[in-house]
Amino acid sequence: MSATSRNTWLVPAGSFVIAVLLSLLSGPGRLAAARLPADPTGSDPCHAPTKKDGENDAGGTVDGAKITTEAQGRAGEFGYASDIEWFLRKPSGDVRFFGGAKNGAKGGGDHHHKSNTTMRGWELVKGAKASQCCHPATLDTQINLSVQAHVSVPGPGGTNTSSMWVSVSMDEFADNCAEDRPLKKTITRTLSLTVTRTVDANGKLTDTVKATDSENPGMPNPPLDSAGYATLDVTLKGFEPWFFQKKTQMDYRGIATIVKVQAEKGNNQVAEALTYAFKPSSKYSVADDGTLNECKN
Amino acid sequence: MQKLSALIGTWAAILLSAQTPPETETVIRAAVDEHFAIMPESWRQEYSHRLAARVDDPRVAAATRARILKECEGLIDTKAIPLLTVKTSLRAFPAAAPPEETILEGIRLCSTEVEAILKNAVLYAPLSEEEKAARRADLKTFEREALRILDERIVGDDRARGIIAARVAERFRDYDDAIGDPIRPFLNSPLPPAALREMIDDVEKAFPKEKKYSVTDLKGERDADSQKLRELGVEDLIFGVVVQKILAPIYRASWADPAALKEVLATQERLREWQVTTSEAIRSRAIEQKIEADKLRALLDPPSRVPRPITRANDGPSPGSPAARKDAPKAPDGASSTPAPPASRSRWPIIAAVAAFLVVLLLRLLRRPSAPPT
Repeated sequence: MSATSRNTWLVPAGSFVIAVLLSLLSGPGRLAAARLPADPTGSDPCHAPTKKDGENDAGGTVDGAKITTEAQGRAGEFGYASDIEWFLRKPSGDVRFFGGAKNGAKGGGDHHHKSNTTMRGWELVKGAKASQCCHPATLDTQINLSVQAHVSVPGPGGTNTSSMWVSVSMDEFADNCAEDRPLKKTITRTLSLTVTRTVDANGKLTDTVKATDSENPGMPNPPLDSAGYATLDVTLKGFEPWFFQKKTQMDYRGIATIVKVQAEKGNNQVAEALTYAFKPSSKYSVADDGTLNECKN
Repeated sequence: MQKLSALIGTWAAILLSAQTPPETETVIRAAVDEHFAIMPESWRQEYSHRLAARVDDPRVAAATRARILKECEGLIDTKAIPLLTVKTSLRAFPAAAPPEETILEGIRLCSTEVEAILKNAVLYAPLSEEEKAARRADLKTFEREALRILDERIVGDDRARGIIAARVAERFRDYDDAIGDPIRPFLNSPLPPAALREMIDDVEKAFPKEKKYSVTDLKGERDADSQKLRELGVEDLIFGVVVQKILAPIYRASWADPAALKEVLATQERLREWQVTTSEAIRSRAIEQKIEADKLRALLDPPSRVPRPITRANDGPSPGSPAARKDAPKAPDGASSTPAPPASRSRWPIIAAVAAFLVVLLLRLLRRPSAPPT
């Protein structure tokens, strides 16, 4: 075998070496980037969803009669004659509270509030090595809050009013395996809405709509439509780029309160308040390399 | 004998009053404490005492007094509603609270309105059933006139007219039970004979007969019909004719003390101004505070950077990596719900092992001594 023929071995061998180098440059940093579960049911061998502490109850009164189920509450909203107050709490964190007054009734009060807590997140599954499960991830929180008032026009000398507030807070916890420091962060948002419609002795109608948003003090008040509805929707957003290996956890708490619903006498006189904390389409999620893994409770 | 009867009557009255608990001031005080809690104790005591004295005046009819006591809490509660908007704003932005004197001013205005209403309420004598029936008949006359006026201005079929008539009837029906109410007076005394004519003239002037409202497409469903009537401007017409031009003048004429009504209207106007000014002050202050807080946060807490994860030398392939997950959930269309990784990333350990073997082989070949030339 000549020297020239021996040197021909160098061509394929060198190609392989270059291929290896390129492969190393493009890939090895992602060795530890294990993906999060695409669903939170625990199919990921590295992480499992943490337990959730939700509630699943409904209750209240419709014209003084006690109700205990969601169906009774929803039916009551259409059929009450004088007053209604009912709440709904779901394991998803959904906290909904409705209060209504007709025909000279009044309801609500600061002591009537309902809250819910639910804990969601991921932790290392038993037996998995923490060193292998360092996720580059972002904790992405989007919780929708909503308040709605419905108030009719009273007669002369009368006032109808609806006032409510709703508050949501989210505590985020995670370890940072890249920096060895914990994340502890709380984000909160509070909404309130008060609508009052007054007709004075001269027949002059005065509508007062006042809304507040803790994150946006300069927010304009929502319009009161011709049917007497005013609605305010906001989203509490949290976005944290992070690395976690052992556990990330999100504790959610929502409080809904009907402060006051009061209507003058008359069956066509009405004051209603509807509050939502964690309205449907809210989500807690972890985004990993563009993949969105939502918590669907 | 006459003197004896008077003496017995006086003693009976004293005994009766002794048996009655001092409920007026207690009832009023409870409501005052609840709704005007921020006011000094001495003010609440003095105010409750003053209101109780008005209600307990011997000239006040027993039935009127009882009615006032029954509705007193509701009255104070309703008249304190303007404080609600400020209260909810303060709940959201407690640090933006206005000076205490501003809040006290709002409460004083509410309390003035309550007192003016009570000043008027104590003047009423309860109506007999016959009087109530007569007032109801008067009200029916007004309702018929209102319907006639609306009918003249509506262009529509019988169904549309029937729906509008029902809306008008609802507005009047609200007042069936209100006749003779001392707190919210309505037809407590007969109206002057010319009142009806004057009101009708006023309506005709405000809503000319020539302007017609075409009403079509009513379905008989309350919500849908209400929406249609609003779009057509008929709701405004009903409100203008029934509430502004008929019910409001009746309400005004029902006040026994016109000075008290004037005071109520003036106080309501001042309360509206107070509400707007105070809410705006809280809002402006909250905006300033938010801007300051954001600036401070930006200084103290710069945006977090995202570091690369620490890669350990002994790290093997992650058991959670997509390649290792045989049970990865599939999307409905059959595709993996997580994006497939590039092929080079999943195959690189095999390539590296093969490459290492070839490098070793190459080195051994290069080190082999070559045969001497022959």
